[in-house]
Amino acid sequence: MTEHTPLPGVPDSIPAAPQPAAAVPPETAQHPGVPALEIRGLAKRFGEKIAVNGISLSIPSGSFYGLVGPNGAGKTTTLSMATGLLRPEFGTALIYGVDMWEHPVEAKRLVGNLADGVRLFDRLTGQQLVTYHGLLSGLDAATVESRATDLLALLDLQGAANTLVVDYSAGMTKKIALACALIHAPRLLVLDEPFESVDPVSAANIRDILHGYVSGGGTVIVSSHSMDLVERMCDHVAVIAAGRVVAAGTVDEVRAGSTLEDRFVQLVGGRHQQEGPEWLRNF
Amino acid sequence: MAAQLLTPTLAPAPIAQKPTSIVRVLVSLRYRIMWNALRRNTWQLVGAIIGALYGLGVLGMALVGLTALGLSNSPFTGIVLILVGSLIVLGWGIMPLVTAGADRTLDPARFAVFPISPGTLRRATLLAGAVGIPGIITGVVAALTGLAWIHHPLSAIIAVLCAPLVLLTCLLFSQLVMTLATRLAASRRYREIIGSLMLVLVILLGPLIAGLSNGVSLSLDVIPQAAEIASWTPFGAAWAIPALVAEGDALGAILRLVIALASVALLAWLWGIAYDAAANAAKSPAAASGKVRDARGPFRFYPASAAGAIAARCLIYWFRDPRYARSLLIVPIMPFLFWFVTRQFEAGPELMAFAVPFMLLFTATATFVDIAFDGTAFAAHVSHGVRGIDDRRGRAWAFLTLITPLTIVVAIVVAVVSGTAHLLPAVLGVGIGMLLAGNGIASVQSAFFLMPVPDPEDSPWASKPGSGALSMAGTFGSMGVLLVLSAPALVLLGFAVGTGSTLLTWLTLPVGLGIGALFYWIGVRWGGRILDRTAPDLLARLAKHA
Repeated sequence: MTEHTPLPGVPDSIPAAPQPAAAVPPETAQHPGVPALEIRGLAKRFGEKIAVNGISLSIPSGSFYGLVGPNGAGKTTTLSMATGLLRPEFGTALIYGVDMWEHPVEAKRLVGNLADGVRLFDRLTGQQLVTYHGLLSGLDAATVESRATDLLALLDLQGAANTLVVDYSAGMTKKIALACALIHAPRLLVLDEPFESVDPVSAANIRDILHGYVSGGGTVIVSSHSMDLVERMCDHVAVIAAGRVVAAGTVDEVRAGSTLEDRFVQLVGGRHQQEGPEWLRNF
Repeated sequence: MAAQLLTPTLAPAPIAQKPTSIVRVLVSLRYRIMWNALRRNTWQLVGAIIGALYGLGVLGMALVGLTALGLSNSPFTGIVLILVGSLIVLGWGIMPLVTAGADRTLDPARFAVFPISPGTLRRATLLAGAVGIPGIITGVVAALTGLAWIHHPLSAIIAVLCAPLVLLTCLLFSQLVMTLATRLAASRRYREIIGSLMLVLVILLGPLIAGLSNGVSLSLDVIPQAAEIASWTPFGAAWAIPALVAEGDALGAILRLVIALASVALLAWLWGIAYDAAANAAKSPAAASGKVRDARGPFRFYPASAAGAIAARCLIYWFRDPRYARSLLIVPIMPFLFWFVTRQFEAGPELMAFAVPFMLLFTATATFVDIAFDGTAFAAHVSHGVRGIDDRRGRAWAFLTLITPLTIVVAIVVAVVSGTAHLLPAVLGVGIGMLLAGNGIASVQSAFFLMPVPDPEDSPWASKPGSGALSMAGTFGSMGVLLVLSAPALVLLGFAVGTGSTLLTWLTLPVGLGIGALFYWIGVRWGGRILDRTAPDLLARLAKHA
């Protein structure tokens, strides 16, 4: 915790233990109504296929927001458009009121992004990769170094700091990607499938870190297939199916008395009662 | 009861048991995958069509040439066919290394989970090669050599019969080289091997040039001798059979037939060994490189900024990613090639002043494939909102760090060996200028042109379908622009060489550097501005390639 230079309005607690309440982002304090992420009418086509068909969501500042949906619902596409990785055909995405596609540099400074399905520069060591991301976001060398050390310790990766990322397991790769998303102390974290193939202990550690981040004033959006996890971890949730928002609100509002999983199946449909073909049942 | 009745039909009945039908499935799989890839990417489709048209052009030229040869009934027909044929076979072995031609669809590693024997996979790989465009063209051209023996009907028939033998030799040879090269690239010693190979070549450059220029000179009367020698090798034996039959040398023809058949058997045997070794290695993936001793590595050398970080990362990649090292291999080879090609002109050693510019024509724009090599990892730059100019600068710095000392060393070696040290200032001026201009060009080109490149896990010699023509367009495009932009400096170098004027020699130094610096300055800015506008769209195209 030596020479951190906090970005404007960023809780200075990201890599270290949470220091709640001390740092409420001043901008948000001035405009308490400004959502961390507001997307309006986002839409994207891939050839003939409409991946995202007019999604609007408002993610309140300081919330832990879950994004759930069946495979191919458009979660990754939506998050990519919101974080400036994929140009939307229609609609806008505002990060704390800053338009991602009008002022990308300013907006991207506020977002930490763990994208799903993109490569990492995996011929770097873990330490080098985190350093790389820190320098890309414009931090100075001393800050990058101390934060990278903090992050690697926080994610139990010190032992692998000098190992090439290409030699990491899938779970370790997720963790190092998370470190890369956190290094510039963003106010909004967008995590696409952060718990995929992460072992239960690491997942619990990551959850603690995220909770600390949220209680320090940060906002987290996670997409996940695990209803259980979202139900336990998030305070808000949106259900996306076929490129549209089917339900959104606080977790209690969305599950409406039932479990999130039952509610999800009910909203999305597609369950069928079958035992599979005969040749798979007789041995 | 029901279960018992069902069991017999459950058993492997629906599975195709015969290896031949598996071969058919595998070959059609390769084409299905290729077609699907081409449908997803219009430019690769265009590239494939240009490639096919080019193939048709080659066929047409072969048809005309062979007919003319046949009608002329020249005594040199056999010699021409043996030499050209040997070069074709040799080319099959070398081309995949030069042009990234390996098709990895039938990579044994991908079939590890299927109950398919390596022998079946090998047959499928060979057959897939035979029905690819180069395979078809080689087979048809080999059969068309029958036309050249139009006055010797027996030789004509034998030439057609030898065509499959020739094709099989080509396919086996190329597969053997590919398998060995891929194994080499997969080994963790690869970059050390490439590095030492380059060092050895740079060191040998001098003695080789000095030694060979005193040796035998190529003249017309050695050509028949060369054909005679080639006919005893696996490369030329099959082509020599019809020629010897036409001469009435039955014993010679039979001996060559034995050699040709034995070559096929030997190549098949060697390839089998290499292939099985590769397949077993694929089943037990070794850790790529383990630990790194120096934690920060090149990050220490560059400023702690976005551009500096990109430079450090790129420099690491130049060493650690075998796809990069490939483009450096030609650095020591090119001056040698230049000397070899130009020595016929008997122009004197001063011509060697152009060896370094010639080499740089092929290397100075190497970074134009950088973003394609990044693949979707480029998302890191997009999501952090890296300024285009920082991206461009970082990539250029890394390459310049590496190539500038190499260029200076090669220039000094060439100058000392060829006795043209007095021209060194001019050569360095033009050379470093070309490096700067080349990076400027690559900065603009790579902001919109994406070369289809192998994935990082693939062999650096793997190819994407239809990439041949596109890579050629990209490479020659950047080369052409570099040639035009550095033309003034090259002309000045020409005058310096022609007149031997010390003033001109020293004048070329600042002029070359100045031109290079100017185009570097323009290119980095222009490319950066394009990238600022189009980075997300570039990323979307990279995701499509992947």
